[in-house]
Amino acid sequence: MAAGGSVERIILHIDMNSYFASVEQQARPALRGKPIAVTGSDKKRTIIVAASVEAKKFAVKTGTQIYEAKKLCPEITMVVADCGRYEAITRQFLKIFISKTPLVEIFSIDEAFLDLSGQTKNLEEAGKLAREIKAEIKSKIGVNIRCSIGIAQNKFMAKLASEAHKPDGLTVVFPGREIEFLDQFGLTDACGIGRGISRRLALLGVNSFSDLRKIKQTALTLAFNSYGLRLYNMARGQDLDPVRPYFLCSKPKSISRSKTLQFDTYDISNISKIILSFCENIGAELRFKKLLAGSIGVYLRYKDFSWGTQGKTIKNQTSATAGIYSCAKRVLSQIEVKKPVRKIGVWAGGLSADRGQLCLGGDFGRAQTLDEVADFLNKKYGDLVIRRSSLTNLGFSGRSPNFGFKKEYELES
Amino acid sequence: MQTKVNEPIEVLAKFKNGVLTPLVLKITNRVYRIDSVDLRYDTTSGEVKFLSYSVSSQGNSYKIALNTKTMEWRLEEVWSG
Repeated sequence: MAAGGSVERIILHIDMNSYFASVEQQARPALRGKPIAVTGSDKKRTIIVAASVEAKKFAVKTGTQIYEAKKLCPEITMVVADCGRYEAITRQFLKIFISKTPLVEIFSIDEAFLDLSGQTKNLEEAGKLAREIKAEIKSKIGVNIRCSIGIAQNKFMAKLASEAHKPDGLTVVFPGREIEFLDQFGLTDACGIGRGISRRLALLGVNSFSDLRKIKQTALTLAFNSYGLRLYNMARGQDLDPVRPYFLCSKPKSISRSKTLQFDTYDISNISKIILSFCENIGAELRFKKLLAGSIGVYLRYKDFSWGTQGKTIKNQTSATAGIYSCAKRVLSQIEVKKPVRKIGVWAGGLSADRGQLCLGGDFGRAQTLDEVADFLNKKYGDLVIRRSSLTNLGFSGRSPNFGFKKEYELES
Repeated sequence: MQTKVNEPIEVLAKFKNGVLTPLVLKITNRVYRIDSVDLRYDTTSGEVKFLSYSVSSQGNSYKIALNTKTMEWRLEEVWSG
């Protein structure tokens, strides 16, 4: 890496390599260097949520079904995920990042952006800091915990750079070299261009970043509205998005829970119980974050993988479990369950800050008090120490099994 | 092979520079000297903080945790082979 002059922005993107699998291999030396896969549960219907570097060589990846993974790699070892462990290790590496700069944006459980602008003189210094971070993670957390780091002048290019070499990569994109670097990648390699957008771009004759640069900004805006400008900038390796520090995290747009069932079902009372469990959990999260929900939606995925979904605006915004469930039940009644259901989900949207609800007394007041008591006891003694009696034999917690990860963190000093 | 356990155990540990490191496990009257501490982290359940460790002894891995309220150690999981 050649020394450079000072640059306006210096952004790091850090991506922990095969994170869940790496943590499990760190915890158990016998698994190191071997193909392993972390699964959602030990039940029949579960998928791979993370594959080790060794397993990826056999094309095992996130989303692969277990039976498929075993066919691809017969000697693969399955490990049931331990979310508490991954969150705890994430807190540890975030502390390392924050010790370098407070401007850390938590992108996901295993990724973060660091803004080193004004802190390091140039990209070479940033590279030196990146190597220090890698060494510190290895010495303080574990030798098996590795990351790939991308360094560039904006978040978009930094994230692409971290994809370039895995595992344990360090890639710098120098000013003026963005387009040359970008053109090595396909459209869907970039964060912000998924299959849907790439299909729509293909209709415009755009199949590469080089093609995308030929499209005028006005045409992109016509086709993609405000996202058109973002695509225009991406094609040129530009991105004005600031790093959003963890301590200024904005409220979520929605909160949801979902679960794939062990057995398909038509049973509405069973489906309603599961929905109640999700409403209980969503309500607890809303109250913890001091938010109110303005709309509730339910979605069902059927055996043939088609969907049934409905949503409804709530007249009086609420975070009370009873209110959320009442709305969810009405929404469910509008979905015709004609086929066996394999997955159920509930979402709460239209979120706004709770500036203190009036207690109306009677049933409303009683429900609100019950929620407050449950929240207090669950906070003091642990999640789900108290819950509705109808849910005690449900067999799962209603906590998000899809590793929905909170981006606001309580990082102890 | 992964085996969930959740049993109380005895642990001999070292305290140095504010860091607790388990050294020896006693599980149902059998003593295991810890060869390596592979992972250490904190979790909470309600208001209780747990100090969790993944340790190795004689080729097997053990997940142990100290309840900092009751000061009780528990063996949570064993991974053999």
